[in-house]
Amino acid sequence: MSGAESELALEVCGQRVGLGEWLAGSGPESDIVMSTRVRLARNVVEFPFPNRVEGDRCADLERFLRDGIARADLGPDAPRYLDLDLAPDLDRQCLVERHLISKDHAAARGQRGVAIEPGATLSIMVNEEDHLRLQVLRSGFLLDEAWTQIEAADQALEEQLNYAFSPELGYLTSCPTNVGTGLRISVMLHLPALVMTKLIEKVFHAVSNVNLAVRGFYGEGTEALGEFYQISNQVTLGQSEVGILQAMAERVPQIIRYERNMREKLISENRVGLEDRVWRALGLLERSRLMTSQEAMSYLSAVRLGINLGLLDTVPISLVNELFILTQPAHLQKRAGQPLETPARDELRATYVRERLRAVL
Amino acid sequence: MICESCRENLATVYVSEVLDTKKKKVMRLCEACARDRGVELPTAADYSVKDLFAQAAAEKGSPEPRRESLVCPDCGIGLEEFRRTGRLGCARDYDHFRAELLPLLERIHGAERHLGQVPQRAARRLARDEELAALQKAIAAAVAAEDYEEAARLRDRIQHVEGEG
Repeated sequence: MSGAESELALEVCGQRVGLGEWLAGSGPESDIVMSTRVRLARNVVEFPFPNRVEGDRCADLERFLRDGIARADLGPDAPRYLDLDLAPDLDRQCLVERHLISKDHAAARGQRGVAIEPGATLSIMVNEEDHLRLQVLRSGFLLDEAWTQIEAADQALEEQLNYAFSPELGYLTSCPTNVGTGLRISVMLHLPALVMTKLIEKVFHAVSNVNLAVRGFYGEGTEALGEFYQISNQVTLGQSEVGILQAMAERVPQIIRYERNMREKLISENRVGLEDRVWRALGLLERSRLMTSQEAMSYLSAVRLGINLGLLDTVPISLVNELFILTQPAHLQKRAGQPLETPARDELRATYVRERLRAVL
Repeated sequence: MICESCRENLATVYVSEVLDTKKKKVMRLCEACARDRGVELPTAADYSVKDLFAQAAAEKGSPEPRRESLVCPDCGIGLEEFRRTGRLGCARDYDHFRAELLPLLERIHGAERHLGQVPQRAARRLARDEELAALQKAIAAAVAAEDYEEAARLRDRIQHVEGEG
């Protein structure tokens, strides 16, 4: 873990939230797979779905779910509950940037929250689109471990709560696109070589033919920042959890192989060109005085590629991964302790990146 | 089904070309070949529950007006609101709007049946509900047949099953 960890913990409603193991840059295939995320959508039979619960009933529902989570045996590192209705907007945005809650959950109103385990691998959104959205987020390509962890949490919760379930349609969800298993797996891939060689579209065509969806860095409807793409399953009904896991376990390595082949090809055909790209990016990160969010993502992406190809060994991968999150707008404003306009943010971003790099270079 | 053009990829697009007023030529193509032929394909952003609903409705013809004004007695959501927002209001909607939902699920998932895990508590609850329904039926039949001894036995059984929950 990073030496600056204390500085990276986020304080929301008096609770400390760690930066998350998923940024450690560890785990299988972590040169290409940034993170593996699994989520389960669950509802209880006692209440309508959150979109039909208003006013006092909404507070009742939140208390009901919150009590269920508190009673569940979720292991020694039990998740701690954050009341998002009380949390400042900036804190909620930070949780979005850390991939711990959805954008919709941050922007919504009314009684809602998220329970986050101290290591920030397990989180449970309360009163989002469904009553509960369980998530496990791990570093690298760790499907089985992530699944085992979320399955255990799901079972512990099920001992306390009556899940809405039908033998015919499975776990019943607010949106019919999640019904059945309620399981969505998203693997975040760093694919700079496929982008550079313009083969990315081809790969995605192949992927979409087998019912997988491609999304950007911050999920549905977001753009692919820093050459990161999330691959996720689309179908949740008519396939078992194991079947969905297997499909991902088969398809994702194919994309990893393409990316790795293209990296080798770039190195063998134009090593100096690639080195120039990587070192130039590091130079800009080290020296710039103003930097937009997109620039930061793009240079960090090049440096990450350089480290993983052995072209650069002075910057730890965990630092690069952290900077992807810590240079996002809400984290910078949290650091500044006040809302900042874009030019001030760009200045703070450049300053912060310089400081963090100076400590290791 | 393999793409008729490249004979490599899976065909996911059906293109029908009107040759003259009577004849129609249908081709089964993969997405790449369809694009090469200038077919505009919907992107992920276009793919929403609402659109799927519209498509399903268009194919089926106009729905019965009686069902169109259907409202869930549990959560109060109407079929019309669900079509507009793409979100259901409660778990019972899956029963109330079953006729509309099944074709939609087939479109989204290519399936209409859950094949995954069954939560244990829910399974016990469902089995108990089923047993109680069967016992209620049996008790009615016993009363109708004036077999009061059997009816009393069934009543005790019902009390026992209800007590277990």
